[in-house]
Amino acid sequence: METLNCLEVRDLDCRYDSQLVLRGISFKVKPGEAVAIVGPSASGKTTLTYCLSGIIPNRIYGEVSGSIKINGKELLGKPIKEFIEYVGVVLQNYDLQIFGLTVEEDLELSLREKDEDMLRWVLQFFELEKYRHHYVHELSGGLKHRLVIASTILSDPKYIIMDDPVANLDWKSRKIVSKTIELLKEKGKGVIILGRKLKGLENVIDRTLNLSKDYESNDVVKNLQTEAVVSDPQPRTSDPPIVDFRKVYFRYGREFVLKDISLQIKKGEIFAIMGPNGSGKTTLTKHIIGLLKPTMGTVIVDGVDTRSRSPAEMSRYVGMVFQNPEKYFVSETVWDEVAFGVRNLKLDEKNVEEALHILNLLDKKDVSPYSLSMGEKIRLYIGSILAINPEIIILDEPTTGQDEETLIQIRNVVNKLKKMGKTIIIVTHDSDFTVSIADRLAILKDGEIFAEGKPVKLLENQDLVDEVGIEPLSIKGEEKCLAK
Amino acid sequence: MFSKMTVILDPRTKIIMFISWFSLAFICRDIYSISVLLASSIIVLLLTGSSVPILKKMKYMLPLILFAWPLWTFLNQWSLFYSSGKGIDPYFGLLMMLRLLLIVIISLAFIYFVKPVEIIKAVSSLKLPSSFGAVLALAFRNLYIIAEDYKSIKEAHTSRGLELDRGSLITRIKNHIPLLIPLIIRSIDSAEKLVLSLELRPNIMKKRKMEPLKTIDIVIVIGCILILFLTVYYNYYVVTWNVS
Repeated sequence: METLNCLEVRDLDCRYDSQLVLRGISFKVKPGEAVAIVGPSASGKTTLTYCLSGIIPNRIYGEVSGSIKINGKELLGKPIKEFIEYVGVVLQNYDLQIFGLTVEEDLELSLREKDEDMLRWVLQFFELEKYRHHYVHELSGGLKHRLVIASTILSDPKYIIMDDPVANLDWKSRKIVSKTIELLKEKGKGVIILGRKLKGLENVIDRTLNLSKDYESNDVVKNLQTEAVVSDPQPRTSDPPIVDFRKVYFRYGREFVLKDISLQIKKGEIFAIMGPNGSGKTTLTKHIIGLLKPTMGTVIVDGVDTRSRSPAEMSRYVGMVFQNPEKYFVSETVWDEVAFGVRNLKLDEKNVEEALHILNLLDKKDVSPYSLSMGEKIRLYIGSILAINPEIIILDEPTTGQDEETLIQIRNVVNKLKKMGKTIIIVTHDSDFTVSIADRLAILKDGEIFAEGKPVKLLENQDLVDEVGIEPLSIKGEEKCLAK
Repeated sequence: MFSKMTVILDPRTKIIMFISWFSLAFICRDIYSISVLLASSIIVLLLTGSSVPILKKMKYMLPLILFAWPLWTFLNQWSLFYSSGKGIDPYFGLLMMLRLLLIVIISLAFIYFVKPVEIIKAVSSLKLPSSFGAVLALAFRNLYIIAEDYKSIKEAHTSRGLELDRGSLITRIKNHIPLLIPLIIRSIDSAEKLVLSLELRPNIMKKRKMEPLKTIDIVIVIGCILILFLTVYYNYYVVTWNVS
């Protein structure tokens, strides 16, 4: 009977129309066991999550065959409500799993009946107490992700599936997820974690299974090489800063999100900003582009006080590449998408061709932006900024959820931009990426600059990394610098 | 943060209160009663501390509300619903403008005070099908998602040089068109995913036990019924002004 008490997948195939996404997947997860399923982008992780929760074929069309049994009961082909009697799911697109307007309300919805003790415990366990009465839209991406995991656990399912649970999380949140998995295992729950890489969870995972990328050709990862960087223009210390924060404070409502920020970024440098979720990183960058104006203090960008310009006017000086750029595409072709900003500002359309050429997208100028790969989509959005030719380009969490192939593309583009003399500001949680690319780093904590300096020096300081709660380096920083 | 009113009152009381409030806006058929209703609504908003956020949101609706006056003054005789029967009637135009203003205030107050979870709770305790409450709450939750999406798309577009708050009215309307494309795509996508997420949260649709109504709730419910009764009596038996 022991074999009955498990989640068992046997010979699972899934195809969308003619495209085979999963082939012959077989594995077992026992209660109290945590299994990681790791694979690159497009290897079928999300499809597998959908199959295991009944979303495919009930809500998303897909031809599925094989078997999914939970505690001996065959569930493949059954409605979603039969799956969720056993399975709790944290989707990759976790944002839309939040149903309540406030943190407390969303957690209450997961409880069968009001239970103040349980509510208090979960808030404390996930370190969400201070956000209890906050509106969900006030939370950062990482905090929202934590909330969805907390809500799923409150539903008390027998098996929990998490699709890329650490992609959006800072190091502290990853540790909370790790602690959660440990607790779930102790309680006899089975846990399946799918992801590209699961740094921070190694200690709690019992087994790791690999998903390959291409079932037809077994071409797992394309062999991409980082382009060599030759003679980068180094920032000159004598130049006045291109971005100058002078004792900046900013608040949403009563709470200060930025406190006493004084920061100078030099022309031509790659400047990284790191910090835990909710530390004010995105708020800081929105000040540079003028989307937010300081409550107190001044932000000077390329000699211009951001208060005196609208965000549209500021776009001549600063461009910002948002997370998930495909959400903001407006055009039917790559060319028109790159031309969007150029036309808004009535600039020369020659810039479009040049930007596409620099980003190796000229041969795709007539295709739909939505048909591009993730790396190409990011390049396309950078292209639409580059065509405006601003001096400063901000990349907001470009590394989040990206596979190695896309990371290499991003790194190449950033190096190219640097060679062109642009100033690049990168917001990221990825310490390895920071060390491999940035000239300087500022670490934010609770809206203040906690540390500033050379990335290797800061990120190799274990006390500092632990205190702030950011991701430690996987390999020695010097090796990363050599790679750079 | 929600105001005290949202914390104190039972969800059922709130739903009954808003249904009564909405009904009153349609029952009142003369300018005096609608003015009294409008004034009392504003007093309620002031007392609950919700006047500023609600009035702020109203500024976008103001041109539409003001447009109601000439529309109903000059064109009321062709209306399918209400007509004063007097041809050009500025008094009637004013009445309809105030009614529209009231409806907008009540709608915004409803969004401000009633949370999706309360709709589910109230519908569940009133023995209505849980899917009914879920559909209402979904529609309501989607409103917030659309508002968030609108904000992020607006930020992304303005940072690519799109000027939304300058130029003539026509230029501004024209400049808003690029916002609509991704907004519509995202709204459809998020509506689908929201339905899915509701299915994935097993306890949302479960019946919930609710505590019995408190004294304050009972007083408000009785008050609402009483006001409704008096308004119907006043408008249909005392006031003889005819709206066909």
